[in-house]
Amino acid sequence: MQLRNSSADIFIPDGKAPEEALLRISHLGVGAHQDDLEFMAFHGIQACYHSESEWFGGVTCTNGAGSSRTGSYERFSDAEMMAVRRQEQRQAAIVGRYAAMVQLDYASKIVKDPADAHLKEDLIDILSAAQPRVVYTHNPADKHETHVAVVAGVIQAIRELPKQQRPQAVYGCEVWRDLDWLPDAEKVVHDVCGHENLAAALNGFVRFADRRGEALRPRGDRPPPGQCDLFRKSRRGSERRAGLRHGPHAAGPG
Amino acid sequence: MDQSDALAFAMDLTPLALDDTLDVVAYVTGFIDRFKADVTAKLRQRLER
Repeated sequence: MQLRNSSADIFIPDGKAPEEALLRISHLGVGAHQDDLEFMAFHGIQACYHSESEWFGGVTCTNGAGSSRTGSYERFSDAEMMAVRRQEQRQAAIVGRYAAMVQLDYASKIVKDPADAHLKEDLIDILSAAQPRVVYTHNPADKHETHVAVVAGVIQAIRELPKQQRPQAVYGCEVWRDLDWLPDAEKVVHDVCGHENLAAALNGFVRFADRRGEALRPRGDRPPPGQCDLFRKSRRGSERRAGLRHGPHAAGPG
Repeated sequence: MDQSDALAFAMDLTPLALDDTLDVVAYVTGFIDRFKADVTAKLRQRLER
């Protein structure tokens, strides 16, 4: 597979050939920024973590150039920050036992440009190579323009695939706008507890990256990370949740 | 009784992936319209008693 951006990166944590690595992906997460997948697609990451047959694959679309520079990164150039963020995402792929981690390395302005087809075309190639059963991406009501651009690209790419190659489930997930306002009957509920150690490991990565993103992203919208509080603590009784939809293609064990 | 310690919510985009004739904007704003209708109905019910 030849990605269109010469600086794109395909990282395979266990060293398999890219074609073989992508083909085994059952759950694919497509996010805008380097720390988005571990936040919004943890349902898929944890489902595949202990599985022999299910594999999570990640796609990050942008290059991390807009990351803020605080603390020890204060004097870092854009290029140096991009290298740091790329390496962090590779480390998350190792910790999460991903099948593959693809970093497309586009500038945000390219991702947000509806006239630029590079992202869509790359996503078509990745989806064709992987043919995942489940896709996680941003939700279209997210407040971040780059997130909305990514979900638009994902939908457009999927629609270019032959019907038999399309995923069985596509979820728009929470990052920069919660979805608790969705009508209960239409709300997909992902149970994201049960792998506290994995959550804590990835949580540490996200917490680290998040601090540097404070200048880039709206403050106060993402809940402060902590063990298992990457996600909404359950406060609802079983009777109330009987009206909610659990992800129909869930994702397997965990 | 809680059945889980942590939940994440998601919007089901599967229909958009399976049916090319669905308008993306109309599909997404449909959720918002139904949310608005729910809020409107509950509020009106309380104000009109």
